[in-house]
Amino acid sequence: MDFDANEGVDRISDLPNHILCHILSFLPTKYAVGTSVLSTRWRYLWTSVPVFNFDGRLHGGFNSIFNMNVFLESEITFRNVVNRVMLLNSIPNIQKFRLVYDCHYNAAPIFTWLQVGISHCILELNLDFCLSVLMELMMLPKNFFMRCTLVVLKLSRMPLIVPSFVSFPKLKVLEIRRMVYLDD
Amino acid sequence: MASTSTSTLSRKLILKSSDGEKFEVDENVAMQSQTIKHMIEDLDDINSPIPVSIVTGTILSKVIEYCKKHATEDSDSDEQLKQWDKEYANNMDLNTLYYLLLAANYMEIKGLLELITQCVADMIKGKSPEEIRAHFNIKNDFTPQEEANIRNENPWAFEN
Repeated sequence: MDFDANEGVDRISDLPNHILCHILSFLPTKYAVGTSVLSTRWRYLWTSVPVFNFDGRLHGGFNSIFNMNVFLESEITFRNVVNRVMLLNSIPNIQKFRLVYDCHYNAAPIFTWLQVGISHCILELNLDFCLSVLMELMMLPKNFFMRCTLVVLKLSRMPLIVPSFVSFPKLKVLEIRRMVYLDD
Repeated sequence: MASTSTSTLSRKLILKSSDGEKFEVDENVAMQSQTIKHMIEDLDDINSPIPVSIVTGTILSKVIEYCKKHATEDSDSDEQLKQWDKEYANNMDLNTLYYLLLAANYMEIKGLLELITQCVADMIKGKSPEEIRAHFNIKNDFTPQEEANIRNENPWAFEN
């Protein structure tokens, strides 16, 4: 192996898929998907990344001027982004699922995403969302509190109803911030 | 066992790189590598050099530097160790990072693999596709039409 005459050589593309996916797993999903345009080698790598990292703040319109039409539009865009990424992903197990999202209209998709996430043996879940809309679906899916695989759970801002029986036998890290408890 | 602290620390192993360079290291340093750990378990004669077949001497010396630091971490705080990791990774050029990644992967050194993959991810973060290509010398092998199509599939991924 030659260590000197290497200027201008593309080494990173020679790495095995699992290392490249490991690298992409540190990025917000938006940027991981952005690498699809680099070259044919990178075209579909993002679909094998075992981490979902959706941050609404990285998608246009969120947290911008207080204009409800902009909110609605960006909420629809964001929903389509998450749906599309989850649909196209080819990994059997999700290591990490992070969702930062300010929801103003329709919270139902969040529960669908969680349902998909927890049915994929998820290890780390990091949720940070605020719901500024009144709706019936305030409760997390029932089986959410019975996830035997979960090792890290971080919750922030979201409304939470905790059932009387909760079981996370493998949990090592629990982080709860700025929570709204809807019952005692 | 109570005796391990003295006996393990004093035991030495010899690692042999792909280009024949030999490194004498403490056993607890070498054991940071799961691959070497498993090799030792199967080894009858611990005094014979252990081949690290795909890693050159130049890279192996850097791997050992990392393992040494992390084998004696109790002398440093977590914060100091993080700072050391950061400087260690920042001092590597792209070529070295590439071979370190392959070495950490082959030798199964989880901490080193995490460190270098994170470091490469930081290089990608915040850059446009053009800047990423330039940074890593990635050749764009798409036609302009193909590239436009890919951007259209996920336009949100290319917005600032």
